Amino acid sequence: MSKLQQLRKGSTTLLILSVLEQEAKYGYQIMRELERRSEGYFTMTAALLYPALHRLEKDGYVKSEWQHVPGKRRRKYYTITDAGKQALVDSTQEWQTFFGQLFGVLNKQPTFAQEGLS
Amino acid sequence: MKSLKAYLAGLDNELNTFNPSERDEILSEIEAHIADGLEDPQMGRSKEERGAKLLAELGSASEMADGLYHAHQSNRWLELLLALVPLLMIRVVWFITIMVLTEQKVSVVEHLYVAHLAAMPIYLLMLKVASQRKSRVLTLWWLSWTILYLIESLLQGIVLQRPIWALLIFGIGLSFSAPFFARQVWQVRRRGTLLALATLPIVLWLAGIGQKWLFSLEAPSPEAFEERMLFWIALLNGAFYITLAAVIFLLSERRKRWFYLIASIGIYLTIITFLWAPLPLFYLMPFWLLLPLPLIAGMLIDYRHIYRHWLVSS
Repeated sequence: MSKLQQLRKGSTTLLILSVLEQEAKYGYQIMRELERRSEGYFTMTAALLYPALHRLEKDGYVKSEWQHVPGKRRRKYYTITDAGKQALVDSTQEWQTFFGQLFGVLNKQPTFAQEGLS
Repeated sequence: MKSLKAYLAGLDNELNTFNPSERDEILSEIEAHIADGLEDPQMGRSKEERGAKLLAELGSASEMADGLYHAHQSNRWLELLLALVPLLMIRVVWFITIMVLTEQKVSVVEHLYVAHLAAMPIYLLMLKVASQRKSRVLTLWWLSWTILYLIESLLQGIVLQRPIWALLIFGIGLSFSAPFFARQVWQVRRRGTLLALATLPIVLWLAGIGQKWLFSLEAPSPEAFEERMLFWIALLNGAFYITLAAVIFLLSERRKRWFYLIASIGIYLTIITFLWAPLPLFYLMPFWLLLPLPLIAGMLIDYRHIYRHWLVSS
């Protein structure tokens, strides 16, 4: 696995929790939303997504519920929990610190710092 | 969409160590994902195009199953403990009961049913635990042992004309557990490893009983009879450890367990080959222990990340 792939795999939890932050979504929806937000940069196979969702549920960061809408198929929706929201905040902070330090060493400013995001 | 169906069939096969409710839920989720993808116009113009893109997105069935297995794997460690530890407790209960009977100068052979009755609460508790965890492996394992000792106790009780109340307990227990066991076995009839796990203790026990009956028909010399009895005892002990190895195998890391099993069998056969000639058969019995040991060692290595934190903190 290349270093970039490792980095992407390591950010799976953060990406999934950020997609679920505002509203509950089902697996296919999570995958498409991730693609849309990253303009195709972050793509995730189902073999990576669903085990990650199950693990997050086991760890208590998300909870799942089967929903059956009349006229539509049954879908398993995932909702972020309070523990998941806290984990999202902590993880975001960790990544920001990481990239802040990394670009500091490289003597460059990361793009998101230039845009005033924190 | 043959390839998508083949993918689902492959995934179903790869998830064979999950209990049925877990497996069905996972498959339903993936089926819904596939159905959503096939209806999504952004995935392609035609259904074939969408199907091809979906297949690439799904990844391989074994990769999916491995990921899901790792997501649930802490349960496997606990299930192994739930399979092995109570079995050792039951042996301790038997040992204590036999010691008490011996102390009371009561015939152990005629009152062996007391040991089985004393161990029955452990069987019932483990069946309850297996049911609550919805674990097919644990349910089959504990049902098999329960049925085995209910049958043995009932037959012994009838032959030895034990108290009616004891026969009733075993008889009623068997009348409830046997149909349930038969249903469980029928449900896993296409899964070879689970079927072997479910039926091995009873089949080998029946083989041992049959062999004992055959020995009694002949008129061997006392020495020959003793040697054959020891062989029969060795066979039953072997059955116990082989079944133990089967359970550990089923609950081990999926990619490595075949290696551990081959290593176990290889080590055992190597030692037996060197020791068969010089040692009487009776002394070979402890070497049955060697059969599951490499499998246990493999599991300890694979799941070290689970107990390492506990060891470090304590």
